Amino acid sequence: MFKQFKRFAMVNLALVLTMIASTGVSPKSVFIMYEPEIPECLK
Amino acid sequence: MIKLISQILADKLGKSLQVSNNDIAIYTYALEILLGAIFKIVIILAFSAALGIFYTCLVFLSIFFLFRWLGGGVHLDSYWGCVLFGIILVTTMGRISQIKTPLFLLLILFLVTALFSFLVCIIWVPGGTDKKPIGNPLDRKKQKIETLLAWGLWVSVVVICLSHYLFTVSLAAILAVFWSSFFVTPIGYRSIGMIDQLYSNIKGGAEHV
Repeated sequence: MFKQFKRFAMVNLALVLTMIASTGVSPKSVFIMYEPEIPECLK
Repeated sequence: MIKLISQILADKLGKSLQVSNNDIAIYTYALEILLGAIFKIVIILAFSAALGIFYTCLVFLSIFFLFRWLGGGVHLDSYWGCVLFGIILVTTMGRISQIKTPLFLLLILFLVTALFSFLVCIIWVPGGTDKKPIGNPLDRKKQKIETLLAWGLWVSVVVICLSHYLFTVSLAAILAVFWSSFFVTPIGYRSIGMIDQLYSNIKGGAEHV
């Protein structure tokens, strides 16, 4: 049960992070304050 | 430090989910912007609360973010330089906003800033960076229109605040738009470039010691 929940949480975290990364590379970045190097796979 | 923490967390997540190296790079990038933003907001608000200027800093920061988000503009290269500059800018403007300012002076400041920011919108918005240039004409036009709409909203809010004698809020809002517009102009880019150079010289000097 706990393992299933852990996996569910991690998959959702990965999804949220992918969404954040996509907004980070868009012309209007929500997270405007800091611009780290954009990974090659997102360029 | 934030890059290292992001890398470690992304590696752990990537290993658990058994994803590719590209996915791990995406998670690292996302964590870096997320943790960087959270840390910076928390530290700026903590400083402003400690100095007793929390509310004016919050008004300044909110409007500054809105215009930076829509209009873009220059960024500092180093994260810690950005944090330091952010603290200095926000707390200084938050403190200035608390100074009792006569209505006629506020009106002059408002009119000058409104004209200046309108011209900046028309001429320079959106301001891209080396890492993220905004070259697509359609994107540029869309962002320009959105920034002009935000400008209209800002004008209305400031007029309402001034008519209700909310001078502190008005001044914080005026200063926020002034600075966010300034950072889109070529002079703004040059100024931040100089600060970046100065910061890297100091950092470089300190590392040699």
